Amino acid sequence: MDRQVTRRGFLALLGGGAVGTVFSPLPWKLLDDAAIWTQNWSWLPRLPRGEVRTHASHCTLCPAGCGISVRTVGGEPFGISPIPGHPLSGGALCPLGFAAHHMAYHPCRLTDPIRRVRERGPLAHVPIAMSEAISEARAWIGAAGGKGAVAVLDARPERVISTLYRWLLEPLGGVYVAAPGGEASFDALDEMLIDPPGPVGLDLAAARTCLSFGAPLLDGWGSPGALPGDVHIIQIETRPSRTALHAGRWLRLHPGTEATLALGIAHVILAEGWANEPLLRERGADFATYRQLALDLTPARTAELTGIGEGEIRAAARRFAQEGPSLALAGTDPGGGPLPREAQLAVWGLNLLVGSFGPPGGIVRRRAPAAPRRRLGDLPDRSIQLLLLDPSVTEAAFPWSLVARKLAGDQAKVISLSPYDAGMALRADLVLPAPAPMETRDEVTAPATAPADALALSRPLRRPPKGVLPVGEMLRQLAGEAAGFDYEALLREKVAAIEASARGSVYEPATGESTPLSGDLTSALEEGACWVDERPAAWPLPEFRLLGGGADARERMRRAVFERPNDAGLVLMPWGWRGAAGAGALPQVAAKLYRESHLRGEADSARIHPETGRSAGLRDGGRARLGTPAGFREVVVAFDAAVLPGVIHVATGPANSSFGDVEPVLGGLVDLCRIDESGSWRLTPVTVGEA
Amino acid sequence: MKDHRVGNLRFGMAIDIDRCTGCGACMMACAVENNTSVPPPEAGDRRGLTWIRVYRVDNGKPYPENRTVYFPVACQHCDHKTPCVPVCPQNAVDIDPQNGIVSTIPERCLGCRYCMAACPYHARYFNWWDPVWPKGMERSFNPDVSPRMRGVVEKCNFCHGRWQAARAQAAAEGRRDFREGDFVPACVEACPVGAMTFGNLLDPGSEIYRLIHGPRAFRLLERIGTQTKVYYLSDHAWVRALGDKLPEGGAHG
Amino acid sequence: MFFAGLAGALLIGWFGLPAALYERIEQPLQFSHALHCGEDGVGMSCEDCHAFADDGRFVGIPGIENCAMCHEEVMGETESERRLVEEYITPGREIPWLVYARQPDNAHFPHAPHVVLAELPCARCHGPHGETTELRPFERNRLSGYSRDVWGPSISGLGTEPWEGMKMSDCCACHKKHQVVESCLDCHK
Repeated sequence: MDRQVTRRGFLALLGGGAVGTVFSPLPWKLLDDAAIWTQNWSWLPRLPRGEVRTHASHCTLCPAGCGISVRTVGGEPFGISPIPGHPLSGGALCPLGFAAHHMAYHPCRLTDPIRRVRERGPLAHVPIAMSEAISEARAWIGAAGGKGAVAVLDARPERVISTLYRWLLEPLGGVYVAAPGGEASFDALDEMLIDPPGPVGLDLAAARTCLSFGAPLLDGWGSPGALPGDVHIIQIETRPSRTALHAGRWLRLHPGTEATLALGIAHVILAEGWANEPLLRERGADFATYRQLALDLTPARTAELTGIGEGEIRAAARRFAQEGPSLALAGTDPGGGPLPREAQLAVWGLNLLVGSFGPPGGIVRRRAPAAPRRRLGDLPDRSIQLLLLDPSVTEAAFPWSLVARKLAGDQAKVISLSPYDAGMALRADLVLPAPAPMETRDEVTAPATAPADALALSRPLRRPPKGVLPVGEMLRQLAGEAAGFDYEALLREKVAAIEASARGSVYEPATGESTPLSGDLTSALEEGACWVDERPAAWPLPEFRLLGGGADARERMRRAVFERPNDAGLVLMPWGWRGAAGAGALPQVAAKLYRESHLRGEADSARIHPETGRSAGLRDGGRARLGTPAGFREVVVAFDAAVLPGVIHVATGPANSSFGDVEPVLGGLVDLCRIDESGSWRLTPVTVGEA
Repeated sequence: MKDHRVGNLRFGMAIDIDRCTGCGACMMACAVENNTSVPPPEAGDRRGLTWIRVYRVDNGKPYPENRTVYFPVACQHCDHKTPCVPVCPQNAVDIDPQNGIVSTIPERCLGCRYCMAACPYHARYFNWWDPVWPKGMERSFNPDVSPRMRGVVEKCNFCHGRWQAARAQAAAEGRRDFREGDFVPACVEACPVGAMTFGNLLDPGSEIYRLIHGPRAFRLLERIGTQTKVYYLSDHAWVRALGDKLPEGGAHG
Repeated sequence: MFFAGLAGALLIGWFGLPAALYERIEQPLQFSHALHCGEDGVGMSCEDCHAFADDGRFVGIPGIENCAMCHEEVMGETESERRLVEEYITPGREIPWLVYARQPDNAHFPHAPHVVLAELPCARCHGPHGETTELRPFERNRLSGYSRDVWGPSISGLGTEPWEGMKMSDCCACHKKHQVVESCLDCHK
């Protein structure tokens, strides 16, 4: 018989095969496996496996130092929660704190030092080895001759690390400078007190009335979270900030008239006899001059200059003077920057008028002595040849020109210690990689505005990448491996000094209780505890000058108070919230959420009164182009009936970006702002048109 | 739709609008807890993934009569005729009989987005893009929540990862019951002002029971009868009216 | 021809497929459960290595510190133990075990309700694994990446023993039998 396979035979074979396949597990098993295969592509992330542990620690993203509970899996942090009842944070945590563990993976994160190569582009850089970076840095430090030619800029002064900076600077005659901006500046207060008592704090929690001149109590001032429950907050600011919208009262004053309003309130207090004049006359060297100036400023005139009604002014003054303890705050958001000098003097002066100096609920004295530091504005122009930026400066928002004018021209070099090549680090010629959050043991202190000192630790919970050294170790190498440059030893000494003083109390996160300090603090801190100092006894009213120092003090105050800034047209007021004010690195999840919800002011989002917007030819939700003498900026506009006509509020912050798509940009909105003689950049006249 | 609920546990939430400061900590905590991916910048608010989203609402008046409140809105976990459950062709949406959580299982989802159309609260989100993470970052994921790939819908599940961990812990202790405080969703834990409360709506001794039976409580779109398990609290009538605010021109406008 | 095709397809499906689909990979080290916790062993119990943590999570595969508690230095004469000490304990490396019972990322399986509340013995799901003298090779499904144990050793997916197969249908079948309330969130992450 023919062994040839016929067509029919072949079809029969196929048919048999088909029937057989159906009765075999092949199609069913392959379907099942294919269903799984199509959901397991190699580029999809896999969950980590490992032991899950919980650790108590503290956040280091900003000066607030909130207590956090960190969950780790296989030695890697994956979740952060607040610790209820924590003395530094009160159980709160700001949005950014929840993603602090993401910063280690930020696209801008550096694992090697980089050298800027400006010939190839403003931000072009090449990675170099740490040893090469250190020797280059040491060469630059050595080449910078003369006293005051080397400077360190630090946005969080008075940590243990600042001692190392001072030791580095001492043999060089260098200067240690606090960076401009930040949530509160006590510089003007120091100027007012004839014998400054050292560091002070603001006891807001114990106050009953608070006149907050722009302090972003809900957006990054002190610790995040709620407005203290019992305090009546009168928020005095031009912008409808979240604090203003939630305060007991919001006084929307004309831009730049804080000094006028403060002195106007002082007028009412003095005219009504609510101040202890004999005491003020005794302690105040220039009280008579001040008094005269205040009394010349009638409520009617104040109302005219500030736009706040007379009734409101009187009510605020009455509440401040009669329903104490009261506190007047001169603090502003990190994007808008500090109030002008005279405004600060006027605001702090209100506290002196009602005796809010020393007792609880007012300006209180902290114990820890502060080492002297210089202000950036006081340095001679073109004097710095080598500038070292602390990691805390990376995220800061201040106009770079404030620093640039102090640099000695093209030969000046800037070195940045920074975990990320972003923000201010982009200005540096050399960037040394600092550790990301939770990679090293770090000191956490109470914020500058807190009423008492505190100490806690941020514990290392993940291993830093190979080659990333702790900041202290880098400073030791920059100092030529000088003896004694041991950060850990200095930290231990600080803890030992506190143990020896036997003062204050220790908060244990495990129990949620605070007990008086006795014995071993070191191991408690290692377990996530927090030490809080006891309050010093009230100190008597010191001698002061309400108008500050200088022969022209009166004239400067008179001008600031009686003359309204003559800005016709639109006024730009930048603002930012702490942790996201500068152009530094932001957790990508935060950037994503804010651009997907428009909840917080993402960078370059603007708010303008509908009338102002329409007459400028703008659309709600459209783009606009702002022009200043320093340049242009495109922003996205939103109409808001609560904004003062004639003003445009624009948020500063990092450029919106997502993973793999980060485009660092040199400079931010504040670099376009006008800077006045006291270094304030709050108001800038702008032209606006549709983009 | 058969109601096969059992037991005495019905999870719900109460959000105090008068306290909410619009900080967005709840949004961050949710995204980190649930390994939510980061879409590219062009996603905007139409194609983003915000399981809980805080809306800013004001009364439209100029200063000084202006008032602004913030409304966190996530899945409302509708209890009655849950709109997204019967429309799913894959049976990927389920209202849990034991605790009332309306769950979406992304692995079953085929991405038809019918549930997104059905949801009256815009609380469901679609993964338009595959998740893209920097190399190695998956080591820092929450091990209790599976990541989602492109083409599936996701939404708030009242932090099912924490619920599962709490049940495992209770089981290890020999317990089968749920006790108040066993777990809270990430958003509730994150709120710095304590505006959010979570618990068993059917337990007369619980804090949330007291809140939802008070005069300040209201729900979103009460008139459509979904009987949501997420309640809002406010002293102000204008805020409570926002819950059922009709568009311009009335209900059919 | 029909029957030739039928026979061929059946052969391929029932025998060819399992041979081709699964990849046999040896475990990085050999380990004898019987030696450690069997009747003639050194007297350990299951809980010495596989126990619950404080938060109710089950430590399925113990870390290297667990082995190091006894095996700081070589105690016996086997090659496996020597490699354990030299290659893993001394440098502090985790052993990259291939886990037979590994479930996908979206499956949540808590041991506590099954072991503590339902009082299931380990062998109910893991078979006689605790009595073995050596670890069998890990048979990896080339398409899905999971162990053969999940579908079940038989290619038909049908098994005679309760531990053969750990797919969703197997879990659901047992849940149904014991009248556990059906809920997606019980098992899905």
